[in-house]
Amino acid sequence: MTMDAALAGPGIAEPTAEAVQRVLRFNRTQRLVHWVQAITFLILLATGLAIGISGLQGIIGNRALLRETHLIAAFLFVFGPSLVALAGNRRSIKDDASEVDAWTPEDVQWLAHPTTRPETWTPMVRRYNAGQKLNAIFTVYATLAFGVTGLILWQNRRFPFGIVSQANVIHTDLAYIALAVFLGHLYLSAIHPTTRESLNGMIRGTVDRAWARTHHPGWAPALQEAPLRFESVLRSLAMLALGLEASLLAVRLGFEWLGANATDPVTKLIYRFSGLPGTLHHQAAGLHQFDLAALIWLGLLAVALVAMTRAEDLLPRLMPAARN
Amino acid sequence: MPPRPQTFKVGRAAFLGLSGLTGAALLLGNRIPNAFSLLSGGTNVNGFTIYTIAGFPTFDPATYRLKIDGLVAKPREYTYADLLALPSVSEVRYYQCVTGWVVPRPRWHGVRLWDLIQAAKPTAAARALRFTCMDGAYSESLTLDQAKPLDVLLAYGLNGKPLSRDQGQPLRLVVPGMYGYKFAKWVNHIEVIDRVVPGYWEQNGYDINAYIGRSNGL
Ligand code: HEM
Repeated sequence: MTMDAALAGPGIAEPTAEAVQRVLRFNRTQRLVHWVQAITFLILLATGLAIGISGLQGIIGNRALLRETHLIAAFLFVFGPSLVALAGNRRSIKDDASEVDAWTPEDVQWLAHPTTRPETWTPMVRRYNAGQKLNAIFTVYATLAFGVTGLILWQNRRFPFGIVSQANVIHTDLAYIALAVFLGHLYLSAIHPTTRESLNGMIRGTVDRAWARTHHPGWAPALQEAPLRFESVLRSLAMLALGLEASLLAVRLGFEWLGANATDPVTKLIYRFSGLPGTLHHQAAGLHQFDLAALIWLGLLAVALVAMTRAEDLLPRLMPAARN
Repeated sequence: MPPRPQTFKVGRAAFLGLSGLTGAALLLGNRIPNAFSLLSGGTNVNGFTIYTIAGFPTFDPATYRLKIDGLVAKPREYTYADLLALPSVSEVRYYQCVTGWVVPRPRWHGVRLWDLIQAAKPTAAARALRFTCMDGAYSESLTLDQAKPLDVLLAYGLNGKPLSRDQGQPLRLVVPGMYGYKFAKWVNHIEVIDRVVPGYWEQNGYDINAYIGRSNGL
């Protein structure tokens, strides 16, 4: 494809020197969501296999430590991506979700003839091809399924043995399936010569314009990343802090509902950091109580988060001068 | 950009479908094929998944001693050969781990725990036993009453062979009816004491009276 043809890409306005060659594929929020989950996944995979494969116990050999590492990584694996999305550019994550959700007959065509050389046969792939969509759907599903079965394995004393046993089977099966999916993903994004340009999108944020035109002809890339401004940094930090506190509290309320035992080191950690005023005393008492204070705090945090997102949408309309 | 073609909400349908299947598998019990777990199951030893908290200690028959002391009139020390020379007992009992796996019929070979305890002559103040292990980390506890049944063993063999290092060589506590974490491995010291001291897993939240089906939340 000639450079001219590439420049005639859809929706691309007057380019800067840099943008002649490269287009923005993933903004900071999208990249951070990806890497938070990627890194915690690798930790979970390594520690999980070390727990589950007998032969590895001799090498790593501290089961309690493995378990705690696994659990802390699990917390970040489940909540980290949502917190980053909440604190960052939510719009782009929402858009990604609707892209992945909405399928056209062309996606089915693509699946029938998946190719890594789209110039040979090109259905109108938009931002994501069908394979990428499946990978994203599997990731969201697996996060939930790992989370639920992992919670049962963690709090195994609180569930009937048949369920624990089944959770163990599903958790382990899923680990091998996820490993296979991960290896495929790694190959296509980092090794295969015609597709590995996409890794640039996840590291630097931009991909080669001509590559984007070939592989995603129906995608209109964003022009540039939104600038980081002082007030947006503050807002992000506030959202992150509120969101973190809310998820810690939510996990903790779940514990109390399950009657979790606070002698478990990870539980202790969560108790320490979810300790808002009025919610701490249960650490000493038996935990089989429903913590009203924690529930009220959780409600307040949720209201604060929603209010902040709403204010952001409303403020520029009320005060046009504040826009950009 | 071409007009958006008609779209179908495949993403959420696929997500909900997968989640529903998984939920059903979770609730409907062991009715789905377990092919993938065979991969990890394939690394098992005699059907057991091997866990350790501080590596695998090395056993040397020449230097190994089992000490029994504390609130006893006659503290004892046994070499490995001494233990093998005592009357040998075998027990076949269902084994269950709290994390969700079972071994239906392991056959343990060893000596009766209560015989050894009686030989040391516990004093009137004795109430419980504390087991510590060669790795310096694993520990367990039993009340004297829990230690009395005839099928509570100190095992040196499994399924006709000496215990392997992974599984507790040379000596492992076997308490039929209790969860696997009670089966302390690499035992080299039994202290008779006046009250129960929680063992390693019990300090990590597991029940001290670890009867299967009657503890750990069941
Ligand atoms: C998402 C949240 C997750 C939670 C809450 C979680 C929790 C747990 C827990 C509590 C255990 C049992 C540990 C023990 O027996 O002491 C476990 C085991 C394991 N986990 Fe996870 N986990 C999560 C995600 C993952 C992921 C993403 C992977 C791998 C890709 C993974 C792989 C494993 C494996 C292989 C085992 C060993 C299972 C066995 O006993 O054979 N886990 N997990």
